[in-house]
Amino acid sequence: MLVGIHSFGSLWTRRANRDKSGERRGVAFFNTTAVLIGNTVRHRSCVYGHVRLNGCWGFRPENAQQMSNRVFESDGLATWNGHRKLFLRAPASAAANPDRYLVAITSEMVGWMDRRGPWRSAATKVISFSEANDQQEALLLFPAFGWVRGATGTFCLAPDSDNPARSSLQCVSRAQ
Amino acid sequence: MRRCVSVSTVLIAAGVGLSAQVHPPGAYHEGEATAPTARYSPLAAQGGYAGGRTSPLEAVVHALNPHDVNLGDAWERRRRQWLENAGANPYFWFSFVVTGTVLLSWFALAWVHTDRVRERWQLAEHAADALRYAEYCKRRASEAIGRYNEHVEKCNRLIEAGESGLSTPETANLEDHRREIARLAADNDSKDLQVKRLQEELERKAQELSDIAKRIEQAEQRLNARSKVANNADAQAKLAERINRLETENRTLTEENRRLRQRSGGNRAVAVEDRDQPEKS
Repeated sequence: MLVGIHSFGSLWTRRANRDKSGERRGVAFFNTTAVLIGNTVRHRSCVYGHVRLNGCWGFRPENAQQMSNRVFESDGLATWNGHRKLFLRAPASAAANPDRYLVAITSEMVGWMDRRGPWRSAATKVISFSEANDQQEALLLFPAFGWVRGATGTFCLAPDSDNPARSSLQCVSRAQ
Repeated sequence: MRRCVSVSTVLIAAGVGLSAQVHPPGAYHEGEATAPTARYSPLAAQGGYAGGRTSPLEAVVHALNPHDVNLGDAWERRRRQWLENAGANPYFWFSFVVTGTVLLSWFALAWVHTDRVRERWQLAEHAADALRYAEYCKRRASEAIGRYNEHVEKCNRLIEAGESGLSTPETANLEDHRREIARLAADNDSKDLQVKRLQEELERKAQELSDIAKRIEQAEQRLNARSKVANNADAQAKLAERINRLETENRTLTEENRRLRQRSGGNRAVAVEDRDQPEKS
Protein backbone atom coordinates (compact mmCIF):
# COMPACT_ATOMS: atom_id res chain seq x y z
CA MET A 1 0.00 0.00 0.00
CA LEU A 2 1.31 3.41 -0.99
CA VAL A 3 0.55 6.41 1.25
CA GLY A 4 0.96 9.97 0.06
CA ILE A 5 1.84 12.50 2.74
CA HIS A 6 -0.20 15.66 2.92
CA SER A 7 0.66 16.63 6.51
CA PHE A 8 1.62 15.19 9.88
CA GLY A 9 0.16 15.62 13.36
CA SER A 10 1.49 18.05 15.93
CA LEU A 11 3.19 15.69 18.35
CA TRP A 12 6.41 13.82 17.64
CA THR A 13 8.03 11.34 19.98
CA ARG A 14 11.14 9.28 19.48
CA ARG A 15 12.27 5.95 20.78
CA ALA A 16 15.68 4.36 20.54
CA ASN A 17 15.53 0.73 19.58
CA ARG A 18 17.88 -1.46 21.55
CA ASP A 19 18.63 -5.11 21.18
CA LYS A 20 18.91 -7.61 24.04
CA SER A 21 22.49 -6.68 24.80
CA GLY A 22 21.47 -3.06 25.22
CA GLU A 23 23.21 -1.76 22.13
CA ARG A 24 21.43 0.92 20.18
CA ARG A 25 20.10 -0.26 16.81
CA GLY A 26 18.25 2.77 15.52
CA VAL A 27 15.68 5.42 16.21
CA ALA A 28 11.96 5.32 15.52
CA PHE A 29 9.77 8.42 15.38
CA PHE A 30 6.08 8.39 16.27
CA ASN A 31 3.64 11.02 15.14
CA THR A 32 0.21 11.58 16.61
CA THR A 33 -2.31 14.32 17.21
CA ALA A 34 -2.22 16.83 20.02
CA VAL A 35 -3.75 20.11 21.11
CA LEU A 36 -2.25 23.12 22.81
CA ILE A 37 -2.86 23.10 26.56
CA GLY A 38 -1.37 26.25 28.03
CA ASN A 39 2.04 26.41 26.47
CA THR A 40 2.42 22.71 26.03
CA VAL A 41 1.30 20.46 23.26
CA ARG A 42 -0.46 17.48 24.82
CA HIS A 43 -2.29 14.62 23.26
CA ARG A 44 -5.80 14.58 24.63
CA SER A 45 -6.72 11.59 22.58
CA CYS A 46 -10.27 10.45 22.07
CA VAL A 47 -8.92 7.90 19.62
CA TYR A 48 -5.26 7.09 20.03
CA GLY A 49 -3.04 5.93 17.22
CA HIS A 50 0.28 6.84 15.73
CA VAL A 51 2.29 6.95 12.56
CA ARG A 52 5.71 5.37 12.79
CA LEU A 53 8.74 6.33 10.73
CA ASN A 54 12.18 4.86 11.12
CA GLY A 55 15.16 7.15 11.29
CA CYS A 56 17.43 4.74 9.44
CA TRP A 57 16.81 6.39 6.08
CA GLY A 58 17.53 9.86 7.34
CA PHE A 59 14.16 11.10 8.52
CA ARG A 60 14.10 13.77 11.22
CA PRO A 61 10.95 15.36 12.68
CA GLU A 62 12.50 18.80 12.21
CA ASN A 63 12.34 18.21 8.46
CA ALA A 64 8.90 16.63 8.45
CA GLN A 65 7.52 19.35 6.20
CA GLN A 66 9.91 18.20 3.49
CA MET A 67 8.11 14.87 3.48
CA SER A 68 4.93 16.51 2.20
CA ASN A 69 3.81 15.41 -1.24
CA ARG A 70 5.99 12.32 -1.02
CA VAL A 71 4.86 8.73 -1.25
CA PHE A 72 5.73 6.01 1.27
CA GLU A 73 5.44 2.27 1.30
CA SER A 74 3.27 1.02 4.13
CA ASP A 75 1.55 -2.10 5.42
CA GLY A 76 -1.68 -0.22 5.93
CA LEU A 77 -3.51 0.74 9.07
CA ALA A 78 -3.17 -1.97 11.71
CA THR A 79 -4.11 -2.38 15.34
CA TRP A 80 -1.33 -3.13 17.82
CA ASN A 81 -1.91 -3.38 21.58
CA GLY A 82 -5.31 -1.81 21.06
CA HIS A 83 -3.82 1.25 19.30
CA ARG A 84 -4.01 2.12 15.65
CA LYS A 85 -0.69 2.09 13.94
CA LEU A 86 0.45 3.13 10.49
CA PHE A 87 4.04 2.15 9.75
CA LEU A 88 5.62 4.08 6.89
CA ARG A 89 8.46 1.78 5.89
CA ALA A 90 10.42 3.72 3.32
CA PRO A 91 9.92 6.38 0.64
CA ALA A 92 8.60 5.06 -2.64
CA SER A 93 9.20 6.31 -6.14
CA ALA A 94 8.10 9.84 -6.80
CA ALA A 95 6.07 8.70 -9.81
CA ALA A 96 4.07 6.22 -7.72
CA ASN A 97 0.33 6.67 -7.50
CA PRO A 98 -0.70 6.63 -3.83
CA ASP A 99 -3.62 4.53 -2.62
CA ARG A 100 -4.25 6.63 0.47
CA TYR A 101 -3.28 10.09 1.75
CA LEU A 102 -2.19 10.94 5.28
CA VAL A 103 -3.77 14.23 6.34
CA ALA A 104 -3.76 16.06 9.66
CA ILE A 105 -6.82 18.24 10.07
CA THR A 106 -7.39 20.77 12.80
CA SER A 107 -10.53 22.52 13.87
CA GLU A 108 -8.93 25.78 12.70
CA MET A 109 -8.95 24.47 9.14
CA VAL A 110 -12.43 22.98 8.83
CA GLY A 111 -14.20 24.17 11.96
CA TRP A 112 -15.53 22.04 14.76
CA MET A 113 -15.97 18.43 13.74
CA ASP A 114 -19.03 16.86 15.29
CA ARG A 115 -18.05 13.24 15.71
CA ARG A 116 -21.58 12.16 16.53
CA GLY A 117 -22.71 13.05 13.04
CA PRO A 118 -21.38 12.23 9.58
CA TRP A 119 -18.07 14.10 9.78
CA ARG A 120 -16.01 12.01 7.34
CA SER A 121 -16.54 9.77 4.38
CA ALA A 122 -16.97 6.07 5.02
CA ALA A 123 -13.69 5.14 3.33
CA THR A 124 -11.69 7.62 5.43
CA LYS A 125 -9.92 5.95 8.36
CA VAL A 126 -9.15 7.68 11.64
CA ILE A 127 -5.65 7.13 12.99
CA SER A 128 -5.80 9.52 15.90
CA PHE A 129 -8.18 12.17 17.20
CA SER A 130 -7.44 14.69 19.94
CA GLU A 131 -9.94 17.05 21.46
CA ALA A 132 -9.57 19.53 24.32
CA ASN A 133 -9.89 23.25 25.05
CA ASP A 134 -12.21 23.76 22.07
CA GLN A 135 -9.50 22.48 19.81
CA GLN A 136 -9.47 19.41 17.69
CA GLU A 137 -6.90 17.66 15.61
CA ALA A 138 -7.43 14.53 13.59
CA LEU A 139 -4.95 12.36 11.73
CA LEU A 140 -6.86 10.77 8.89
CA LEU A 141 -6.10 8.33 6.12
CA PHE A 142 -8.02 9.57 3.11
CA PRO A 143 -8.75 7.85 -0.16
CA ALA A 144 -8.70 10.06 -3.23
CA PHE A 145 -11.70 12.40 -3.11
CA GLY A 146 -12.52 11.50 0.48
CA TRP A 147 -14.17 14.22 2.48
CA VAL A 148 -14.35 15.60 5.99
CA ARG A 149 -17.05 17.81 7.33
CA GLY A 150 -16.58 20.58 9.84
CA ALA A 151 -18.53 23.54 11.05
CA THR A 152 -17.31 25.68 8.14
CA GLY A 153 -18.20 23.20 5.43
CA THR A 154 -17.27 20.05 3.64
CA PHE A 155 -13.70 19.65 2.48
CA CYS A 156 -12.63 17.15 -0.11
CA LEU A 157 -9.13 15.82 -0.65
CA ALA A 158 -8.37 16.18 -4.34
CA PRO A 159 -5.17 14.77 -5.75
CA ASP A 160 -3.34 16.79 -8.34
CA SER A 161 -4.03 15.48 -11.81
CA ASP A 162 -0.46 16.08 -13.00
CA ASN A 163 1.29 14.82 -9.86
CA PRO A 164 -0.83 12.28 -7.93
CA ALA A 165 1.50 12.46 -4.93
CA ARG A 166 0.46 16.07 -4.43
CA SER A 167 -2.97 16.60 -2.91
CA SER A 168 -4.98 19.46 -1.51
CA LEU A 169 -8.06 19.97 0.60
CA GLN A 170 -10.75 21.79 -1.31
CA CYS A 171 -13.94 23.18 0.14
CA VAL A 172 -16.81 21.69 -1.83
CA SER A 173 -19.67 23.17 0.15
CA ARG A 174 -19.93 25.89 2.74
CA ALA A 175 -22.10 25.44 5.80
CA GLN A 176 -25.18 27.63 5.83
CA MET B 1 27.38 -61.75 27.54
CA ARG B 2 26.85 -65.27 28.83
CA ARG B 3 30.16 -66.28 27.31
CA CYS B 4 31.92 -63.45 29.13
CA VAL B 5 30.26 -64.43 32.42
CA SER B 6 31.25 -68.07 32.03
CA VAL B 7 34.82 -67.19 31.05
CA SER B 8 35.16 -64.79 33.95
CA THR B 9 33.71 -67.45 36.33
CA VAL B 10 36.26 -70.00 35.11
CA LEU B 11 39.07 -67.47 35.46
CA ILE B 12 37.97 -66.53 38.99
CA ALA B 13 37.81 -70.20 39.95
CA ALA B 14 41.24 -70.78 38.45
CA GLY B 15 42.61 -67.74 40.25
CA VAL B 16 41.18 -68.94 43.57
CA GLY B 17 42.68 -72.35 42.93
CA LEU B 18 46.06 -71.02 42.08
CA SER B 19 46.07 -68.63 45.00
CA ALA B 20 45.16 -71.49 47.24
CA GLN B 21 48.16 -73.36 45.90
CA VAL B 22 50.66 -70.62 46.68
CA HIS B 23 51.07 -71.26 50.36
CA PRO B 24 48.73 -74.03 51.37
CA PRO B 25 49.18 -74.48 55.09
CA GLY B 26 48.94 -78.16 55.75
CA ALA B 27 48.53 -79.02 52.06
CA TYR B 28 47.75 -82.51 50.93
CA HIS B 29 50.63 -83.41 48.54
CA GLU B 30 50.93 -86.36 46.29
CA GLY B 31 53.34 -88.83 47.71
CA GLU B 32 52.84 -87.81 51.32
CA ALA B 33 49.63 -89.68 51.52
CA THR B 34 48.90 -92.44 49.08
CA ALA B 35 45.50 -93.80 48.27
CA PRO B 36 44.74 -96.64 50.75
CA THR B 37 43.09 -98.74 48.04
CA ALA B 38 46.45 -99.03 46.28
CA ARG B 39 47.83 -101.01 49.20
CA TYR B 40 45.55 -103.94 48.87
CA SER B 41 43.97 -103.66 45.36
CA PRO B 42 46.19 -104.74 42.52
CA LEU B 43 43.71 -103.26 40.05
CA ALA B 44 43.81 -100.03 41.84
CA ALA B 45 47.57 -100.27 42.03
CA GLN B 46 47.62 -100.60 38.27
CA GLY B 47 45.59 -97.50 37.90
CA GLY B 48 42.03 -98.93 38.07
CA TYR B 49 39.94 -99.75 35.03
CA ALA B 50 41.50 -96.87 33.18
CA GLY B 51 44.71 -98.68 33.27
CA GLY B 52 46.79 -95.67 34.17
CA ARG B 53 45.39 -93.57 31.36
CA THR B 54 44.18 -90.04 32.08
CA SER B 55 40.67 -88.93 30.97
CA PRO B 56 40.16 -85.44 29.52
CA LEU B 57 38.23 -84.35 32.60
CA GLU B 58 41.04 -85.45 34.84
CA ALA B 59 43.47 -83.62 32.57
CA VAL B 60 41.48 -80.44 32.92
CA VAL B 61 41.19 -80.84 36.66
CA HIS B 62 44.89 -81.58 36.86
CA ALA B 63 45.65 -78.51 34.74
CA LEU B 64 43.57 -76.36 37.06
CA ASN B 65 44.85 -77.99 40.21
CA PRO B 66 48.28 -79.41 39.43
CA HIS B 67 49.16 -80.05 43.11
CA ASP B 68 45.81 -81.69 43.92
CA VAL B 69 45.07 -79.20 46.64
CA ASN B 70 41.93 -79.92 48.61
CA LEU B 71 40.07 -76.71 47.85
CA GLY B 72 36.98 -77.60 49.87
CA ASP B 73 39.07 -78.13 52.94
CA ALA B 74 40.85 -74.84 52.38
CA TRP B 75 37.53 -73.06 51.84
CA GLU B 76 36.07 -74.58 54.99
CA ARG B 77 39.16 -73.61 56.96
CA ARG B 78 39.09 -70.05 55.72
CA ARG B 79 35.34 -69.83 56.37
CA ARG B 80 35.80 -70.97 59.91
CA GLN B 81 38.61 -68.48 60.44
CA TRP B 82 36.45 -65.71 59.00
CA LEU B 83 33.46 -66.66 61.14
CA GLU B 84 35.63 -66.80 64.20
CA ASN B 85 37.09 -63.39 63.39
CA ALA B 86 33.91 -61.68 62.18
CA GLY B 87 31.16 -63.29 64.17
CA ALA B 88 32.84 -62.68 67.45
CA ASN B 89 33.90 -59.16 66.52
CA PRO B 90 31.31 -56.51 67.53
CA TYR B 91 32.98 -53.88 65.35
CA PHE B 92 32.33 -56.04 62.29
CA TRP B 93 28.65 -56.26 63.05
CA PHE B 94 28.56 -52.53 63.80
CA SER B 95 30.18 -51.65 60.47
CA PHE B 96 27.95 -54.19 58.74
CA VAL B 97 24.83 -52.58 60.14
CA VAL B 98 26.09 -49.08 59.35
CA THR B 99 27.00 -50.05 55.79
CA GLY B 100 23.62 -51.65 55.30
CA THR B 101 21.91 -48.58 56.71
CA VAL B 102 23.89 -46.31 54.40
CA LEU B 103 23.04 -48.40 51.35
CA LEU B 104 19.39 -48.50 52.30
CA SER B 105 19.40 -44.75 52.85
CA TRP B 106 20.91 -44.31 49.37
CA PHE B 107 18.13 -46.35 47.87
CA ALA B 108 15.57 -44.38 49.88
CA LEU B 109 17.09 -41.11 48.72
CA ALA B 110 17.02 -42.22 45.09
CA TRP B 111 13.44 -43.31 45.48
CA VAL B 112 12.45 -40.00 47.08
CA HIS B 113 14.31 -38.03 44.39
CA THR B 114 12.58 -39.96 41.60
CA ASP B 115 9.25 -39.33 43.26
CA ARG B 116 10.00 -35.64 43.54
CA VAL B 117 11.00 -35.40 39.90
CA ARG B 118 7.86 -37.21 38.82
CA GLU B 119 5.76 -34.94 41.02
CA ARG B 120 7.42 -31.88 39.53
CA TRP B 121 6.64 -33.03 35.99
CA GLN B 122 3.06 -33.72 36.97
CA LEU B 123 2.86 -30.30 38.60
CA ALA B 124 4.24 -28.66 35.44
CA GLU B 125 1.68 -30.45 33.31
CA HIS B 126 -1.12 -29.41 35.64
CA ALA B 127 0.18 -25.84 35.66
CA ALA B 128 0.30 -25.74 31.85
CA ASP B 129 -3.23 -27.08 31.70
CA ALA B 130 -4.34 -24.47 34.21
CA LEU B 131 -2.65 -21.66 32.29
CA ARG B 132 -4.23 -22.75 29.04
CA TYR B 133 -7.58 -22.99 30.68
CA ALA B 134 -7.11 -19.57 32.27
CA GLU B 135 -6.25 -18.09 28.88
CA TYR B 136 -9.30 -19.71 27.36
CA CYS B 137 -11.45 -18.40 30.20
CA LYS B 138 -10.04 -14.90 29.81
CA ARG B 139 -10.71 -14.90 26.08
CA ARG B 140 -14.23 -16.11 26.55
CA ALA B 141 -14.74 -13.61 29.35
CA SER B 142 -13.45 -10.74 27.21
CA GLU B 143 -15.76 -11.79 24.39
CA ALA B 144 -18.68 -11.93 26.79
CA ILE B 145 -17.71 -8.56 28.29
CA GLY B 146 -17.45 -7.09 24.79
CA ARG B 147 -20.89 -8.38 23.90
CA TYR B 148 -22.26 -7.08 27.16
CA ASN B 149 -20.65 -3.65 26.65
CA GLU B 150 -22.01 -3.47 23.14
CA HIS B 151 -25.43 -4.32 24.39
CA VAL B 152 -25.22 -1.78 27.21
CA GLU B 153 -23.94 0.80 24.74
CA LYS B 154 -26.97 0.22 22.57
CA CYS B 155 -29.21 0.46 25.60
CA ASN B 156 -27.52 3.71 26.63
CA ARG B 157 -27.94 5.17 23.17
CA LEU B 158 -31.61 4.26 23.29
CA ILE B 159 -31.99 5.81 26.75
CA GLU B 160 -30.12 8.96 25.66
CA ALA B 161 -32.31 9.21 22.60
CA GLY B 162 -35.35 8.96 24.83
CA GLU B 163 -34.02 11.58 27.24
CA SER B 164 -32.93 14.04 24.55
CA GLY B 165 -36.46 15.12 23.77
CA LEU B 166 -36.85 12.89 20.80
CA SER B 167 -39.61 11.02 22.48
CA THR B 168 -41.12 9.32 19.49
CA PRO B 169 -39.31 6.91 17.27
CA GLU B 170 -40.44 8.89 14.24
CA THR B 171 -38.50 11.99 15.26
CA ALA B 172 -35.42 9.88 16.09
CA ASN B 173 -35.65 8.37 12.63
CA LEU B 174 -35.93 11.86 11.22
CA GLU B 175 -32.64 12.77 12.87
CA ASP B 176 -31.10 9.66 11.42
CA HIS B 177 -32.45 10.58 8.04
CA ARG B 178 -31.04 14.06 8.40
CA ARG B 179 -27.61 12.63 9.18
CA GLU B 180 -27.89 10.28 6.26
CA ILE B 181 -28.89 13.17 4.02
CA ALA B 182 -25.92 15.20 5.24
CA ARG B 183 -23.60 12.29 4.57
CA LEU B 184 -25.06 11.71 1.14
CA ALA B 185 -24.82 15.43 0.36
CA ALA B 186 -21.15 15.42 1.29
CA ASP B 187 -20.64 12.27 -0.77
CA ASN B 188 -22.43 13.95 -3.63
CA ASP B 189 -20.25 17.04 -3.35
CA SER B 190 -17.18 14.88 -3.37
CA LYS B 191 -18.44 12.96 -6.37
CA ASP B 192 -19.25 16.27 -8.11
CA LEU B 193 -15.70 17.40 -7.54
CA GLN B 194 -14.41 14.08 -8.82
CA VAL B 195 -16.63 14.27 -11.89
CA LYS B 196 -15.54 17.84 -12.50
CA ARG B 197 -11.91 16.80 -12.26
CA LEU B 198 -12.49 13.89 -14.56
CA GLN B 199 -14.31 16.10 -17.06
CA GLU B 200 -11.45 18.57 -17.01
CA GLU B 201 -9.02 15.75 -17.52
CA LEU B 202 -11.19 14.34 -20.31
CA GLU B 203 -11.33 17.74 -22.03
CA ARG B 204 -7.62 18.14 -21.69
CA LYS B 205 -7.02 14.72 -23.12
CA ALA B 206 -9.50 15.38 -25.95
CA GLN B 207 -7.63 18.58 -26.71
CA GLU B 208 -4.35 16.72 -26.67
CA LEU B 209 -5.88 14.08 -28.92
CA SER B 210 -7.10 16.65 -31.43
CA ASP B 211 -3.68 18.31 -31.39
CA ILE B 212 -2.07 14.97 -32.02
CA ALA B 213 -4.56 14.25 -34.82
CA LYS B 214 -3.74 17.61 -36.42
CA ARG B 215 -0.08 16.94 -36.16
CA ILE B 216 -0.55 13.50 -37.66
CA GLU B 217 -2.55 15.01 -40.50
CA GLN B 218 0.13 17.60 -41.15
CA ALA B 219 2.76 14.94 -41.05
CA GLU B 220 0.78 12.85 -43.52
CA GLN B 221 0.42 15.83 -45.85
CA ARG B 222 4.10 16.48 -45.63
CA LEU B 223 4.82 12.87 -46.38
CA ASN B 224 2.44 12.89 -49.34
CA ALA B 225 4.07 16.02 -50.75
CA ARG B 226 7.45 14.42 -50.42
CA SER B 227 6.22 11.26 -52.12
CA LYS B 228 4.73 13.34 -55.00
CA VAL B 229 8.02 15.07 -55.55
CA ALA B 230 9.72 11.76 -55.40
CA ASN B 231 7.20 10.34 -57.90
CA ASN B 232 7.81 13.25 -60.37
CA ALA B 233 11.53 12.72 -60.29
CA ASP B 234 10.99 9.06 -60.85
CA ALA B 235 8.71 9.72 -63.85
CA GLN B 236 11.26 12.08 -65.37
CA ALA B 237 13.95 9.50 -64.95
CA LYS B 238 11.74 6.91 -66.54
CA LEU B 239 10.97 9.28 -69.42
CA ALA B 240 14.61 10.04 -69.98
CA GLU B 241 15.38 6.38 -69.90
CA ARG B 242 12.60 5.72 -72.41
CA ILE B 243 13.85 8.49 -74.65
CA ASN B 244 17.31 7.03 -74.49
CA ARG B 245 15.97 3.62 -75.22
CA LEU B 246 13.90 4.92 -78.15
CA GLU B 247 16.85 6.86 -79.49
CA THR B 248 18.96 3.73 -79.27
CA GLU B 249 16.27 1.73 -81.04
CA ASN B 250 15.93 4.46 -83.68
CA ARG B 251 19.64 4.44 -84.22
CA THR B 252 19.62 0.66 -84.52
CA LEU B 253 16.73 0.72 -86.96
CA THR B 254 18.44 3.37 -89.04
CA GLU B 255 21.53 1.24 -89.17
CA GLU B 256 19.50 -1.78 -90.22
CA ASN B 257 17.66 0.21 -92.88
CA ARG B 258 20.91 1.46 -94.26
CA ARG B 259 22.28 -2.04 -94.27
CA LEU B 260 19.14 -3.38 -95.89
CA ARG B 261 19.30 -0.68 -98.56
CA GLN B 262 22.88 -1.47 -99.23
CA ARG B 263 22.01 -5.16 -99.45
CA SER B 264 19.02 -4.50 -101.70
CA GLY B 265 21.29 -2.37 -103.98
CA GLY B 266 23.75 -5.28 -104.32
CA ASN B 267 20.96 -7.77 -105.09
CA ARG B 268 19.59 -5.57 -107.79
CA ALA B 269 23.04 -5.40 -109.41
CA VAL B 270 23.30 -9.21 -109.21
CA ALA B 271 19.83 -9.57 -110.77
CA VAL B 272 20.86 -7.30 -113.59
CA GLU B 273 23.91 -9.42 -114.15
CA ASP B 274 21.81 -12.63 -114.09
CA ARG B 275 19.36 -11.15 -116.52
CA ASP B 276 22.26 -10.32 -118.77
CA GLN B 277 23.81 -13.78 -118.72
CA PRO B 278 20.94 -15.83 -120.43
CA GLU B 279 20.91 -13.32 -123.13
CA LYS B 280 24.59 -14.02 -123.58
CA SER B 281 23.95 -17.79 -123.55
